[in-house]
Amino acid sequence: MKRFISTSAAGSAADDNKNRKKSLLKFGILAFLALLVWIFSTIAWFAMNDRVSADGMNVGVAGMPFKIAAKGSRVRYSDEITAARSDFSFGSSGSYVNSSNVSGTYYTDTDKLILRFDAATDGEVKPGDSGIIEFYVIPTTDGDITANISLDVISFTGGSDDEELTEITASYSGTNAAETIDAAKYMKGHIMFFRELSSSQSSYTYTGALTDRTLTVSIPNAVHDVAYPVQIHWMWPKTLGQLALQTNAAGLRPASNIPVIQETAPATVGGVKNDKRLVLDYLYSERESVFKFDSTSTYTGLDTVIDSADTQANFELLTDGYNDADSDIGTYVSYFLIELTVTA
Amino acid sequence: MKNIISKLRAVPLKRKLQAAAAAVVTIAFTAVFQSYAWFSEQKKAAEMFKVKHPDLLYLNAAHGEDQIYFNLGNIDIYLQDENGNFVDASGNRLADGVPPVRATNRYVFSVSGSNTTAFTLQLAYTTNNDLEYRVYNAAELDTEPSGDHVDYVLHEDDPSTASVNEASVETHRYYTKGSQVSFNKMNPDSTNSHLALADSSNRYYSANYGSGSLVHENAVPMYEQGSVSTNTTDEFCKYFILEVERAEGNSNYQLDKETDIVYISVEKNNT
Repeated sequence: MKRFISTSAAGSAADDNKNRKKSLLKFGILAFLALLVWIFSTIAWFAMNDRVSADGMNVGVAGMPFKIAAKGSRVRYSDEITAARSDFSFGSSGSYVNSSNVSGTYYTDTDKLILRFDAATDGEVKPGDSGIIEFYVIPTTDGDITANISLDVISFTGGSDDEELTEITASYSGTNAAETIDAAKYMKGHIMFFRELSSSQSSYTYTGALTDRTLTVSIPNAVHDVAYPVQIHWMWPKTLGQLALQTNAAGLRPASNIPVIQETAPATVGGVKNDKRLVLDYLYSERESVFKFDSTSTYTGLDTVIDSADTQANFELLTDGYNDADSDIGTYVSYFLIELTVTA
Repeated sequence: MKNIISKLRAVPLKRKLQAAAAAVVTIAFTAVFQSYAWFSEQKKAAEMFKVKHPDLLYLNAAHGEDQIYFNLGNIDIYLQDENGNFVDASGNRLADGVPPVRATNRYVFSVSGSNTTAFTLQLAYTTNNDLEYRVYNAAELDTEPSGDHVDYVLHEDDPSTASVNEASVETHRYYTKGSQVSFNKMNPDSTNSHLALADSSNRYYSANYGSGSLVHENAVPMYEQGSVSTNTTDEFCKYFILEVERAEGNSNYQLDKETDIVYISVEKNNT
């Protein structure tokens, strides 16, 4: 026992130093490691996610292969349209050529474009009036372009000194709210859209009825930065007789009121409906927006009445309903907006 | 297997929660990615139009009251007292053999509307009673004027509808005659201007009597038309006095009450 305890006296001081140094070193290393662990655990605690959240994700989609543009020297009711649609803009003007290589000034570079026109005069719209909605597609790349267009009619009231311009939505709550909301419905129902103006025909005016308010335009082999026009005809028929009759043998329609579409029997040939079939189907499916009847039961079974509008009694019923709706439009609606949505 | 289970059990609760949360977020990310996939870019274009106010034309009784209050009723042909004796304008009984004095009956009606610069007034009447109809422009007054005027009680204050305890209040409007509206007879009989005639193409009564030719001469309607200007495209309301009197020069002095029908119509002039 004594022998183990008594270390050699001669080397004990040096050994003690060595030992001290060793233990100091060991202690230092350990301390340093402990410090590292402490630092990392602090960071780890700090960066620990015990609450995970994911907010606002930006999904980038490949852009449309074309821009839309407007051409014309004037804007209809520019004060009213900027008040009604403050997110729309006139776009910035630029020079582009059309497909015949004629240069012109087009307003573009905006996703919400206010359309333009050129006519010298502009008037208030009443039953029997019609017009053309025109815009241009300017491709950004070459190739085949397809544009899908959907149309909407939105009504407004006011816009005079007495009353501010107000959009008529389902929750409109101004004076005569119920009548005004119905009038906006009739306004939407009474504006009809067509693809072509059949100028070669004297017996009717339009073909290509767009009764579902959608249109697909294809431009094959389009060239970039060339403006291709898209024209859609809109019409507010003056009388029901110009829309619903299959024949005027009974003289129900005055000869001076030219039919809007060809007066013929409605037919579906090879799955394709003719304009008369499309319009009669539209009058039935949108009957609550086209006709104003006092009794809601009149709307039931109206398809048989519409399909045989050539008989005097049916014709008078439908005409009264159509004219009453027109009268309400004129009384309660002051402006309407035709809005197009274009997708690729 | 047991090892794994025991190891899993050994994981503290917090770690389990974090793992679960991470898994949920991953699933959510996937779901969100799916629903955003259909979102596609779109552009819009719009054009604004103004709707024209409809052309309105209304025919009403005096003061714009409902048509039901325009009532001709029993017309006095000659001035008579309560016993049926002919009297003169002052109420004095006329001597025998003196022709009776024609009574002038006046009725007020109004034409109102908007967006109408000129309209045509039409009177269509049968000629059983040999009456003359004249239309004058009229002015409405709140206070009773001293001269010749027509007194009208507004029906909203009809005393017969007032309750027993309510003091009945009558509100009057007074109408004075202005200039006469000039009318043209459209179908007078060439031999007797008091009668109307169907023209050779039977235009004037085919809607009523068809193509029959055995129509009594007094049942053929007489049409008279006159044009009135409003001088405004805004809202307007014009008053008229209809004067009904036995025709001048009628010496039959018949009092038998016959029935006549008179229609007042108004149509906008399209200029």
